Amino acid sequence: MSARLVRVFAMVHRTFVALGAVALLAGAGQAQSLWNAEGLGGWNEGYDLASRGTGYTAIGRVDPFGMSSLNPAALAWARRPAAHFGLLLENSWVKTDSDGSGGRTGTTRLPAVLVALPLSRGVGINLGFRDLTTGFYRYKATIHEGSGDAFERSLEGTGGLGQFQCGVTARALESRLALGAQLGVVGGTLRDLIRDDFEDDAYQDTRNLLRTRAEGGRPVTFGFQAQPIEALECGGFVTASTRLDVRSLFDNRTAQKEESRGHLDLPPGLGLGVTAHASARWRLSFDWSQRRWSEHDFALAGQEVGRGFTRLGDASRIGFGITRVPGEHPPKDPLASRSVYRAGFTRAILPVRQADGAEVAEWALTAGVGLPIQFDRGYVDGLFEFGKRGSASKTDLSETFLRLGMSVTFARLAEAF
Amino acid sequence: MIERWFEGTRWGREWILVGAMALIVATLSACSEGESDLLNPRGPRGGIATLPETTRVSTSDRDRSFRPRVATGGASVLFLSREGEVQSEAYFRFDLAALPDTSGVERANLGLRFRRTDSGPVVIEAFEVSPSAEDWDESTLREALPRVEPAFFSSTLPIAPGAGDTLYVSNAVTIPGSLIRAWKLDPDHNRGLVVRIAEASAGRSIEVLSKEAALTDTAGYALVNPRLEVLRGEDQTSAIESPDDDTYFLTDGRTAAAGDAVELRVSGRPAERGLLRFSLPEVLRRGFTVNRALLRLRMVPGSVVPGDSLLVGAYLSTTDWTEATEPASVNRGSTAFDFARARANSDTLEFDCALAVQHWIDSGENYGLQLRSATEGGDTLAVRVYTREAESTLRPSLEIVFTRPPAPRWEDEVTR
Repeated sequence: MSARLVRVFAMVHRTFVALGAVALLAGAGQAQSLWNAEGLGGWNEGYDLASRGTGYTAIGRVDPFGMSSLNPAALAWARRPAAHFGLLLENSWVKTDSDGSGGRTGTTRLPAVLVALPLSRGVGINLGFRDLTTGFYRYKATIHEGSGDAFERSLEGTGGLGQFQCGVTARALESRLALGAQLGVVGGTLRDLIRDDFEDDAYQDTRNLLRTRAEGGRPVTFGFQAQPIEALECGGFVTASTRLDVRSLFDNRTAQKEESRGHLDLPPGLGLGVTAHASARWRLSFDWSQRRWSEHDFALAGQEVGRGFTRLGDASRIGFGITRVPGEHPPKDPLASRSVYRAGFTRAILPVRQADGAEVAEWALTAGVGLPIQFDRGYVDGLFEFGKRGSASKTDLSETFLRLGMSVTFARLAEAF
Repeated sequence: MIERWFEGTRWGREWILVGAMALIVATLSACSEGESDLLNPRGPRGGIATLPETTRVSTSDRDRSFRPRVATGGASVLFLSREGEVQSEAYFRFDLAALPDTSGVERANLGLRFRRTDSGPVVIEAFEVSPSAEDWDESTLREALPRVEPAFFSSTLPIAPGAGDTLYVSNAVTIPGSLIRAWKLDPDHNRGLVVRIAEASAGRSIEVLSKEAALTDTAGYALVNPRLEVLRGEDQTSAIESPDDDTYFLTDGRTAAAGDAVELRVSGRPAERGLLRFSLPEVLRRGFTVNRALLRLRMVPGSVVPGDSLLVGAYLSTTDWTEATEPASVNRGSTAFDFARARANSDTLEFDCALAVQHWIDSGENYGLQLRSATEGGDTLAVRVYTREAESTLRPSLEIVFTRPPAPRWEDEVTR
C-alpha cells in the first residue's frame, strides 16, 4: 500500500472519529418545522454550510473547499484529499393567526459528511452522505381541557431520507472547466409518533407510530462549473428523475401493523449559478434551482394512479450572496484578516403546499465566516441564518427560525505546522 | 474599514473568539427540547390531528345466561344441598404421607364447621369415592364421582347451627380404620370421600367452611379446618391432618334463562353467568385504538336484595356460543378486564370493555363477553339484567370511544 493511500485512510479515520464525537454532542434530533410533517419532510438541496452563509449560492462558484454536492462539479476543485462534516443547530418560533399563540422548537443534526479525493490529471472522486429530507417536528397540546375526556396530544416527527453518494469529477481546459457526475442511493425512514395521554385513567391512551420508509432511489446528477474569464464563474446541474419505493408501516400499542406500498418518481431537478469577481476580494454570486414536484408520479402498489402526495408543488430557490475572500496573506497575519466573510439572502418555495393549495415560501438572511485551518489546509465555517417560513396571513402558519451551523472542511493536515 | 476592524489588536481577535464561543453555547442551550403548541392549521395531513370519535352500539346481537360446571375448590364454603333439583355434595381428600404407620389405627374423626342455612337441621352421610374413579383435585373437579355404596357413615344426630353462628362438630364424619389404612397403603387409589345430606333431610341445605376459610383461634393461630383426627387404640390421637383437597360439586336440574328471555342472570351459587356479544360497527377496523368502551347493563329492579351487593366481573369469552342452546361451557380470559358492583339501589351496571373491544378488532374474533360473580361458588347472591329482548331503553348498550390510525403520508387527510 502506498504511503499516500495510508495517509488518505488515516485522514478518513480521523474524520469519522471527529464525526462521532460531534454526533454525541448533537444528541437526538428535535423538532424543527411543522411542514416537515408533510410530504417526505423538509427538502435539503445539498448546500454546505459555507454556501448557505453566502445566501445559498454554490452552483456557479469555484471553491477548492466547496462541498456543496448539489452540483457535483463543485467538488472538482479540491487540490488535496479533503473531508467535510457539518453540524447544524436550529430554533424555530411558530405563529398562527388562528389563535395567535406559538411555540419554540429546536433541532440539531449533521447535514453532511463528504470526502473528496483528487487523483491525477485533474480527475477526482468523492463520496459521502447527506440528508435529503428532514422529518423533525414536535407538537404538544391539551385537547378538551377541563372536560372528562381531556388528553394531551403529542406529535413527534423524527428521521428523514438520506443519500449516500459517490461522484467523479474532472478538470479540463487548464482548469477553466470542471465536470462532475454523481450517483446517489436514497433511503431512510420518516417516523411520526402520535400519542394521546388521557388525564382520566378510565381511557386507554393512544400510541401510534407511523413509519414511512423509502428506498431504491438512484438519482444521477451531472454538473459543470466553468471560469471562462478570470472575473466570472458559472455552473449548472441536472438531476435525473428516479423511482423511489415507499412503504408506510403502522404500529399501535397492540403491535398491529398495517402496510401499504407505492412508488414515487422523484422529479428531475436543475440549477444554474453565476459568480462575479467584483474586485480582488469581493465576489457576488447568484443561484437558481428548481425541482418540478408538481410533475411527480406516485402510485400505490398494484394501482395505476394514486391520489397521494397531491399537495406537492414545484419547489424553487434563488440566492444572492456576497463573499469577502482574504486574498494573498502571509501565514503570520492575524486570523481575522485571513478569514472569509459571507452574507446573503435566499428565498425558496417549498415543495409542500397547504390543503388549500397555498404555496409555502421561505426567506432567510444569512451570514458566515470561514476561519482557515493551518493557513491553507481548510476552513472551519460558521453559519448564521435568520428567516421566516410561511405566512400567518397566507398559510395560517409561520415559523421564524434561527440557525447556527458549524462545519469543518480540511485537506490533509501538515504534521509539523 | 472592515479590514482595520478585523486586523485590530490581539485583544480584538480574542474577543471575537470569546463571542463566537458564547454564541455557540447560547444556541446549544436555546436548542433544548421544546415543542410547538400549534399544528399546521391548514396542513394536508390534518389527519394526524384526528380526534377521538364516539360510536354507540345500541344493543347486543346475542345474550343469554348459562350454568357453567365450575370447579369450586377455591370457595371458602362447601355447599351441601338436597333441595329439589339442586343437589350438592362435598369431596375431601387427605394425603396421609405424614402418618407414620397404620398400626393400631381404629378410626378417624373428621371435624367440620357448619354454618346454618334457613332450611333447618340436617343429617349427613359419607361414602368412599371409588378407588377406580378418575383422579381429581379441587381445582379440576367438575362432575360427580362414583362412590362405594353403601355409605360408611351416617350421622345419628341432626346438625343444627344457630342463626349467625358456626357449629364445630369434631366427629361430623367417622371414617373406619380400614379406609384410613387403605389410603395410607395405596395412596395411588386414594380418591377421598364424599359427604352429602341424607335422604332424611331432603329439601334442606347447609354450608361447611372449607380450608380456604383461613380460620384462626383467639390467640391468632391458624386452625386446622376441616380437621381429620386419626385415632389408634384406646382413643390415642395419632395424627391430625388437614385436607389436601376439599371442594363441592353442585348439579342444578333447572335450565338457565333461554336466549330469548328478557333477562339474564349472574349468580354465585348455583353458578350462573351471563353472555353478551355485540356486533361492532363497520367503522371500527384493525389498527384503530379503542380508548374506552362503556358497557351499560340495566338491572332488573329488585334483583338484588337490599343490603346485599354483588361484585360482577366482565371477562372475554374465548370460545363460541349461540343464543339458541345453553352451552355446556364457554371459555373465558383468566382475568376480568373490569368489575362492577350491583346493589339494590343501583339500576345500571357499567363495565369498561376497551381491552375486549380492542381484542375483537385486532384479532377479528368476537365471542363476546362473559359476566361472572366474583364470589362464584361462595355465596348465593345474584343479579338480573335486561337483554336485547327487553324494550329498547333497557337493552344492553356499548359506547365506544376510538381513535383512527394515522394515514400514510401520501394520503390526503382532508379528502380521506
